[in-house]
Amino acid sequence: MELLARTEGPLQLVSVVDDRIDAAVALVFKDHMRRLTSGGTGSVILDLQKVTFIDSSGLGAIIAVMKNLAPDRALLLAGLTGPVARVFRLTRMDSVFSIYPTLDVAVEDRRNA
Amino acid sequence: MNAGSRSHSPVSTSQLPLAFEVTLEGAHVAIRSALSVIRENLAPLDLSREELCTVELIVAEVLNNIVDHAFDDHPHPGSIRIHGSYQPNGLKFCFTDLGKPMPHSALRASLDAIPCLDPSTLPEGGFGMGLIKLLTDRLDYSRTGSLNCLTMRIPVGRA
Repeated sequence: MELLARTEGPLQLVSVVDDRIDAAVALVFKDHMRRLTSGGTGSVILDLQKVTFIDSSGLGAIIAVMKNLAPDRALLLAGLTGPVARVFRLTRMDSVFSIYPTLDVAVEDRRNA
Repeated sequence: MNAGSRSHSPVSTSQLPLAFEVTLEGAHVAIRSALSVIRENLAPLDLSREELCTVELIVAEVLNNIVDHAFDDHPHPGSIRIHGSYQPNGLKFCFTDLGKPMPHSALRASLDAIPCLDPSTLPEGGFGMGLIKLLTDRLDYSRTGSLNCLTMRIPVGRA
């Protein structure tokens, strides 16, 4: 599971390179995210624009990452493709996360926050 | 990896009914290729992208549940057999395995029961059966001897 991370000011941006977050990679994703974000202080924006499939294990992993960052740091989501947005909607997790159409919009919004 | 497929009836782009069978090893690593084989088998149905996503999500959730629960700590995790067939009223699936029985309480799972007001108390799992119930109908589980059988209908295509 490949993740690309960079910082922009106080923000940490993580892009998922793989096109699936499913049961086969959920644990690896969670551990990888924990390592990448440890020691940071600002919000984390997870860029999901390349992800075209997520199952409930992948969703659970993203929730675990969010809970691991809380309460001091927020996890924001950006670039959800249709199938991914649908899983968030069906499970009502779209009401729990701040979701932005693109990474750029998310960065811009948080910069002005 | 043991995902394979064999058609029970000739599959053509214009002729229905369509039926197929896929057998995979009961392990997470085998699920992706099984889903890929199922997508190939469904090609003649010309389902919309959203319908294909629905089918893929449901099949993935069922397989995850079987691997995580029926085969969890199982001394001899075996294979999972998926039989799919298309009828004018939708796509019917039957999943069979020789794992542990599914408690009937599992079928009562509901996405409505998941609290999402306080993020710190959010569950990190348990969404699978809720999604399956939301997106299928005629969901039925039976245990015959040591055989688990989960059947469902997915209302896609001309349903």
